[in-house]
Amino acid sequence: MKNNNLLIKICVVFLTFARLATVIGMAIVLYFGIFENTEKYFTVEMSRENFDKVEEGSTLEVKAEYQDSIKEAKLESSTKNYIISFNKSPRTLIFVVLIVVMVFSIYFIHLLLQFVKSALGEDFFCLENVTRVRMMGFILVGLGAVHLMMNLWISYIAGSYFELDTLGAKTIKVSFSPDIFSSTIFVGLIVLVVAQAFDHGLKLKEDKELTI
Amino acid sequence: MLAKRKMQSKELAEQIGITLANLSVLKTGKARAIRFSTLEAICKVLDCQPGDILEHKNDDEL
Repeated sequence: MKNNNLLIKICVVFLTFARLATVIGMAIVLYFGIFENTEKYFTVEMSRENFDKVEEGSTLEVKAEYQDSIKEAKLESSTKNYIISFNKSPRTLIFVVLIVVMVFSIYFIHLLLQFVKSALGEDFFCLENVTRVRMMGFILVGLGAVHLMMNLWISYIAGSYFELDTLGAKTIKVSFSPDIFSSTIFVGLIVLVVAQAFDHGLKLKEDKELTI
Repeated sequence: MLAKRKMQSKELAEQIGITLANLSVLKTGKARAIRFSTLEAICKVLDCQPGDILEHKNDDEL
């Protein structure tokens, strides 16, 4: 029991720092997004996997109709990813999505911190904890959906903005690795099931307490 | 039934071995269930039958 409490206290300290670090991170992003020139800060990386025909160091050709949106797209040899710098409109979208993701990430860490803290007290099976776990599940599903949509958007950009014939039918690969199990959406769904189990546990506890 | 027996709640709670708070839960109808052992103890102390202390009410009467 003593070891368990120590573990929970370590978790509380770690999560408190994580929450603080995320808040500071968001403040920095907000500062650069609002007051500074964001050209070099808001970029999107595309995996080189999709550009295997292109040599390192080369620059992607942007289609004429999208010249206004894309500022630059070049291959970073160190990361083996394409770094695409956007002009104003897509950059604003990335900035807004980033802020929303960070706000929900901070809220998620906050909920997790409160949940872990409640384990130190006596009343762990309470309605507040059920709500917290359920909310954490929804946040994970939401963040996973945002991640998925951003990936689709980036795929769309890669497929339509550049003079490249790399995405789409030609790059469909058959994968046997169960990616769904490692996705945030899947973890979120698991957390929602845990929330449901927690809710049931709470009802059982109330039944036990109100059986005289 | 308590009034008939001229007994106080505290005295009954002590005799049947439950807390005054739990007896209050029983009296106010907030209890989800009652153990047979508790029911038996109450009937024994009050010298009555379960039907004398239990009453069925429809949901709309509550």
